[in-house]
Amino acid sequence: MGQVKMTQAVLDLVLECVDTFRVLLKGIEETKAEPELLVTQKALAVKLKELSLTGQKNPPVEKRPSMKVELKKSEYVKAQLPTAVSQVNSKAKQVEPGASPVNKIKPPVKEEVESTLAVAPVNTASAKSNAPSSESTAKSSIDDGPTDTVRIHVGILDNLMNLTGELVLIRNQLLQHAKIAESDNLTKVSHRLNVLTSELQTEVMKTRMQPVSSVLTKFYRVVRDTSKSLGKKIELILEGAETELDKTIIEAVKDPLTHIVRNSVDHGFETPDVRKEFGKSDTGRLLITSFHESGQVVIRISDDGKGLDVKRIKEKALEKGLVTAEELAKMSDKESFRLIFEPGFSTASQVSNLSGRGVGMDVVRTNIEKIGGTVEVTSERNVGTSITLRIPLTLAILPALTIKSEGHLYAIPQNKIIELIRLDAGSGTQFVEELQGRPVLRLRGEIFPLVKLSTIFGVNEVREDENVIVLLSTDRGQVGLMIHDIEDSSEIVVKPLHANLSALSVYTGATIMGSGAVALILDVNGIAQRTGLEISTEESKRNDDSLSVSTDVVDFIVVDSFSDDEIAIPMAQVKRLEEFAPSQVIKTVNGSVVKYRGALLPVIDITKIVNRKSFDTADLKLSTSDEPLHVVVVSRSNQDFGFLVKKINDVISSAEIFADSTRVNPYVEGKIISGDDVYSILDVSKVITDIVGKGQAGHLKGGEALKPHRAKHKILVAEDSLFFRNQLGQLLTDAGYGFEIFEDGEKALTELMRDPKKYSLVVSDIEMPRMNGLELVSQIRSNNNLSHLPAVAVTTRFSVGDQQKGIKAGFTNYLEKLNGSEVLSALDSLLKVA
Amino acid sequence: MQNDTESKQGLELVASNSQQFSTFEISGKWYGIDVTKVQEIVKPMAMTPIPLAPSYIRGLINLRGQVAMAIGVRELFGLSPTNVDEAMNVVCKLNGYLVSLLVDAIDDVVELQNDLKTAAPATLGKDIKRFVPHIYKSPQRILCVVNVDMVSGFLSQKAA
Repeated sequence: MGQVKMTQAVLDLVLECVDTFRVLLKGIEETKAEPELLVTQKALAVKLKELSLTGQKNPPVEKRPSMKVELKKSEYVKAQLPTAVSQVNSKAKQVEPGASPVNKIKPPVKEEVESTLAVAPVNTASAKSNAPSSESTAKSSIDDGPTDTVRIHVGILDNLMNLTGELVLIRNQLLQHAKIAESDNLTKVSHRLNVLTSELQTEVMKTRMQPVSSVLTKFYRVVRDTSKSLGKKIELILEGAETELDKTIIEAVKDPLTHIVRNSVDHGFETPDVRKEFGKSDTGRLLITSFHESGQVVIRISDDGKGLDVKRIKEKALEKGLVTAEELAKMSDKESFRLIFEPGFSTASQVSNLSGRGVGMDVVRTNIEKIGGTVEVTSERNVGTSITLRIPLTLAILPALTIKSEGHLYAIPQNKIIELIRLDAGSGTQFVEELQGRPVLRLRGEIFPLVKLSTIFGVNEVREDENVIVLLSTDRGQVGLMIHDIEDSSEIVVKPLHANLSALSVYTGATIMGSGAVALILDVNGIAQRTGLEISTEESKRNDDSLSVSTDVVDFIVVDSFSDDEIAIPMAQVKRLEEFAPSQVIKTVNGSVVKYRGALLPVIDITKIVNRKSFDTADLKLSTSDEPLHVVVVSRSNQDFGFLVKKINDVISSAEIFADSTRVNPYVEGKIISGDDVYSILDVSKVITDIVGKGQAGHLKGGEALKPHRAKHKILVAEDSLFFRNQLGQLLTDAGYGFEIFEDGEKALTELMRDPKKYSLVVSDIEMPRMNGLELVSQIRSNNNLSHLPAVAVTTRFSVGDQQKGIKAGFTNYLEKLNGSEVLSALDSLLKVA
Repeated sequence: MQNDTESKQGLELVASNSQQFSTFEISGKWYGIDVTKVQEIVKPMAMTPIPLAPSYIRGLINLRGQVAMAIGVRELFGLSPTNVDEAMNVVCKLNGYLVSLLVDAIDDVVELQNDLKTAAPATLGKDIKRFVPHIYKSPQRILCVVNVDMVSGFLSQKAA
């Protein structure tokens, strides 16, 4: 027995052997006989022989932890190759593939060699014999005789687990009966049973626990091969790989982990040259740490690669229609990282066949969340990225809180419950309030949305009061569930629901209580989802009499003019917020402009406009300092205009929009109230019209010519807010269309049915009381006399989902409010006027 | 294991020209299910309703420690709702899940010759026919055979 220096070439050879073994074993499994050695395999034997002859003498073994290999083993392998197959046939070798005692980092080759020499078919190679507590070391298991382990089929362990679960349920029942019977002896015995059952449960669970290394060590190979093929140098370091997880969870976590690792190697790490440029070592470091923390297993995958590019992520998300521009503007960097988990997302510009098949991080998140875990990402550009998975220790048995509703029991997993609050008159710190029509809980300075369980279940007559709030931790943040009362806290065995029911997002399984009754297990994320839905229908039902206040929530940008007036500009009309240096402003005869995106952007100081002073755009007051100019870029008919402001203050969402019918200032179309502040809403359209109108054609492009054609049509408008009624009314009047306005869907529908031939087109808001836009349009579509009418939705609800919903319900076009020119062009084209 | 398959085959070979059905009544009509598909029959049981589920899913029952989903066959057939307190449970295993079919009353297990089998008439109605493709014209009464695979297919499809 000599020694050979470990080099890349030698390791390659060893790994090739391992692969060959696998193939041979598979062949034996299938045909029960030794398969013919292929040419390549025979060549392998030759290569090994060469190696043994030409290897250097007494070299030191390379100390790199991830590549550490027992040379003796490779010798053994070489010696065994011709006879290994027959050995495998005759002897039953007992090997523990999964056990990893104290060694922090398992030499990968050793593991693989051992597992391939095991007789067991590949599936059960990972079957856990009750080894975790055994002292035997894997090192000597090949050479020694039978060790302290037994090989067991996984199915048997599953059965054991089930039976233990049933035993737990029976124990619960017995305890209940013992309580009722009030017999001392019975109580004593049942307590003893309780203790025993709990111990049994723990032991059985232990049998199914496997160290996470059984999954992680495979990554050495993955990282090695992948990085090699990409020309990158990456070192994989595992810490805490002996942390144990239930087998079922290990299965579930395998794929997501593989994807994350591949992703990291493929897209996260730079090539050695690029790394050097950044002052990093040419070898990237991929660290996977695992540990237990507060009842969960945490697996953190960190790399020191190039980090996530927030800008690219935001761009991609916008491109794919996953978010709107407004939502993006409000997102912090951390929040934008979460966008990578949205389905349909993939920023890799070249989707490699290694990790970017469009399957993506969304599948990772779904899979992890399916087993009750969470995924989090943090990243810093050029420093690295870190992905943290938190997974429950075991799936099957959960501590849960049982609650009662309408006489039936429901269970909520304990790990999702943050707090229980009982609403009584008298306790000072908690209140239920209403914020913009929604019930919320004010607790210690924070606000949480509330939802009643009876509402979620669609119970019409609620017979019980729901004064207990369960504060839940959901993927939409913290939500309070209002219930009648809590029953008990106990451990429950989760039974899966029929596939048919899994579509009901509010449930995540069922369980059998001690009493024998079946209880449904609630899914907190499903409940959080339902919060959104039920609120809007409730809201629209309640809002009947307030005419001047809109039910739509509109976003505005609040700016300061140079006279310190606070002005609100509807977000829908804002294209961009820009900053220019005073030196960039060019004064021309027609006014001041700035070179912007290949064209000249007219810059107007809105201070004067709002103060009704002169409209002289040439007189742009600029401070002498070098302070940047803040400009809000608005756009109409593809023409951009820049409104110069002193300061951009804030973005607010407000539903309290008041129309200014007096129009003291023609450029202020209304006011918004937000908290204690009142802002003037700038009539962007009118400002632009007046700027442009002098000489050039106004926004009514060839409008005069179209007027007689438009006058032939009568448009029916359904809109509940006075503000927007005025707006639309003005737009249509200026354009020359005939129209009638109705305050809600019901009135609009009645009118349509009364005289179907009167109107050529319907323009409708979505959020209206009594009958909203979606219901209105589906009624129109299902009515034979009306289904031919083109219908245009004009609304503030403008996400991709909303648009799809609108089109699906029957709208021909789905447009955004306060974008007058777009609405007009749509009308013109639908009515074939232009 | 080997023996079971053999003996099963044996059974089939011997009785291949007739079939056994577990039968029951719904709204005065006689229905049956292939006896090999029925796991057991259980008396009316306490049921946990499932809010938000479709009307034909009446609830969940506890079957010796297993959770079974109770389906109202009356609802599937478009008839007036099942009275769960009095409905008998015909428990089958569909696609690996335990499903209990709620019926009005239980009748005997009968064996009928295959030559009595014929396609179900259109008069049964669309709702019923999608689960009852065949009937057996036995001398006393017509037996409508419920095809559990079709029921299973319907349930799985609704899941989407």
